[in-house]
Amino acid sequence: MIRLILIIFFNSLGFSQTLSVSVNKNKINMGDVITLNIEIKGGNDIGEIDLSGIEKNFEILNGPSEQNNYQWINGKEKKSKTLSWNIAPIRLGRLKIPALSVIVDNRKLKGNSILIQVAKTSQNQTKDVFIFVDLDKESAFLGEQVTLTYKLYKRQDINIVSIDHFVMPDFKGFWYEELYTPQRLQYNSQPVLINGLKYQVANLGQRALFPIVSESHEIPPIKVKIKIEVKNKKRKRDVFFDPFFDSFFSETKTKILTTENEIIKIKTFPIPRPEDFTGAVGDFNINANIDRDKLIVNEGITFKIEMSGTGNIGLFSLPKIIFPDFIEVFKPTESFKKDKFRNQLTGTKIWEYILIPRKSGEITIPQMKMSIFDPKINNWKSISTKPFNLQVLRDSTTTLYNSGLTKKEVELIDKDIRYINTDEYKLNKKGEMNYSFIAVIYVFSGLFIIFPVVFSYLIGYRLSSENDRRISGAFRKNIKILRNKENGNEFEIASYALYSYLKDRLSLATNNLDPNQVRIILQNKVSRSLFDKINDLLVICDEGRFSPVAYEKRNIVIDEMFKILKQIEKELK
Amino acid sequence: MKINIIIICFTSICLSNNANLLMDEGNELMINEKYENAIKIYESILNLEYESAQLYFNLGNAYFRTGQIGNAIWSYVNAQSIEPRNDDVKYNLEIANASIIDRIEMPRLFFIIQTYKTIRDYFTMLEWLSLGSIFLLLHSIYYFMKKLWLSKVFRNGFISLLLLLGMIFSHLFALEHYLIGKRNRNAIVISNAVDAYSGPFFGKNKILFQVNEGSMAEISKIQKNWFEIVLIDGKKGWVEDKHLRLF
Repeated sequence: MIRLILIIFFNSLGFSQTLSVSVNKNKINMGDVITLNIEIKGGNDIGEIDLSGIEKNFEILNGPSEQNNYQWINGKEKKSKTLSWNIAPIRLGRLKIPALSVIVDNRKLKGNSILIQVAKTSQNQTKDVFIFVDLDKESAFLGEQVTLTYKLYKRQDINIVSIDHFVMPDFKGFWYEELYTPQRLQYNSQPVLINGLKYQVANLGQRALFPIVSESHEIPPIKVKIKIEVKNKKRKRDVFFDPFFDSFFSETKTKILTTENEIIKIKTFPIPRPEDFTGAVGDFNINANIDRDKLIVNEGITFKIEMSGTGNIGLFSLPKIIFPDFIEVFKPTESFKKDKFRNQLTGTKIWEYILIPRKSGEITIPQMKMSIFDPKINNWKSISTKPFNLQVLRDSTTTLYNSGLTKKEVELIDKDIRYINTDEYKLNKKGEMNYSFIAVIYVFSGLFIIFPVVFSYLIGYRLSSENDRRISGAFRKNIKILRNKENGNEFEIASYALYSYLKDRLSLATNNLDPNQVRIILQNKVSRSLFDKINDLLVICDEGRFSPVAYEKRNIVIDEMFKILKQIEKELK
Repeated sequence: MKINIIIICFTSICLSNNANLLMDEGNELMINEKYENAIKIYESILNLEYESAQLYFNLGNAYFRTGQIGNAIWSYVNAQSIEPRNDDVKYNLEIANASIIDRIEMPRLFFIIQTYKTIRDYFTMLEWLSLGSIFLLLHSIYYFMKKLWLSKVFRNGFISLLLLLGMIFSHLFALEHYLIGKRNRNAIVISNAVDAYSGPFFGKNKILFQVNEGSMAEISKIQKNWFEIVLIDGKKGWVEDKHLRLF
């Protein structure tokens, strides 16, 4: 009784929730899909279901799909909710679906754990449907094209209802170009025989891969989900199901198809590697052209380099072209035209340079040479453009008046040269100079110098005598005597200097001068005041020689005489 | 055709050695702005071994008008060497020099050297020589007077020294002009974008630098039709002779 009451009580409180976890099968092959169902009976507030425990071993393909069930039995409501997921194993072996827990109405419900046995799809077992990565080569050079094709194989009697859109993987270590992407599944008309069984093949997509410098060159596996029709033989005989409607009500089965991980080996380039190799691998032709070969300074010209062929076109740059210094080069514009109808990447790449010569003259656009690697012959190849000669003409309108002036010498910008000289002119023979005038002058100069010598030689008259030299040297000689005080009496020196000076200067014959004679000689030759001074000084000198009275003046007498000699020299001139 | 006839006529005139007539004709063509023809006429006068500052000046103008700066400078420099104090020549040479592409910045010379050069180039060699001879004459007259008259005026050693120095320096300047003229190793570049190579032939020689029209260069070596030039800033390289014009 008490139990019954308790049950009723619990029921009324809503404590009757249960959780059950189930799968549709527990022994599967790799690539099969199982359905995971979680059924919650009762409960109003159903929380999130944490599926993180599953993701270790399984991939969740889709879900959850929800199914709600309401039942009214005897006025009582019975409610259940089923959530289902499609999951696919990602590993082999015994995989465990851990016990899942859900919070329902603030109660934590825990389900049971399930073991699932995943077997490897045996090799011998012929697969009905599979996908396959088709690589045209297993090893390649850097930059060499590897063509990748995803192919779907199916037995002829299998009907694929739908195929999910699949994402191309990141081709790590490759640069890729799309070659083909199908819009819908389309089988080749010609079936392929594998192990004696006929398969139909469909192309799921094609890419041109070019290995670039990278640590690994790996093509990761892809997964494609398809639905195939299950032919239920039992039903065919069913009374209620007419075979005619078979297709409408056919059952489908989801299948996951995977490819294997593929690794591409990178071959090393043969040595020596040319210096002008910039990474071009393939078979290319190069061509250059200019739009004209004659132009005027500061005009632009288009220099086009066209490279066409098969290979990793667009993946490499041109070697640096060294243009002459005075050509202004603008960054080239690149354009690329892809030829889509071939599964080898083919196309034409065009580099267009705009060149502006800044000087006139003959200009050569140099040859451009580059090395490419041709994987077909497994060796290097050199391709080159031909050089061009450009005729850059002077700009007839601007060069004449201000070419270069604009930049350089601002002050001369507007100025023009001065007009030609049309005055009277006289043309002279080159290198002929009139030296006759100079020669005449030289002869005259010579005559002037020689004449006095010859003259004096002829008539015996010495124009320049020893006397002259003595006259001119008189002053200097006697100053020296005066300065040389050591030898003897100051008074004697002073008077001797004067006598000696006068004798030399005036070319006197006598050797014995005395004050009286000096007076007579100088009377009219010097000024009165000087004459008196000389007179006084001579008296002092005479007295000094004999009387001790004047002796005191010996210190000044030399200086006095010096001044007097200077004065005389001046006045005699 | 017409031009050809004119040229033939002129060559016949050339044969008759009438350079003056050619000069008249050249000036006439210049007035009519037929610069290309004027150049031909003027050059033919030069080929006859005649020259004058005026001829070079007019030729320079003709070259300048046709945009040949290198040749224009060549002409003006020649005109200047004949008439160093001609203002028009100097002016046009400055303008032509302003039009050249290569601007070689010269370090400023020490002012004494600069003054020396200015004085030296103020007169031509002949003028310096004449000046020197006049100084010599004056000095010898002075000497003569001194010997003959014993006048006090002529005893002044200062005047004598002045005349002597004048004479010596004039002759030194004249001598330097003579030596410069005799070396005659200067040339002017007359083409644009001339490649200077590291050796006197094409081939594996490296292009060292490029010179442009109007640049002055000194020739240091000659080999066949190649010149080794030294630019004012010291760059050295071999250039084909067709790109140069010697002074």
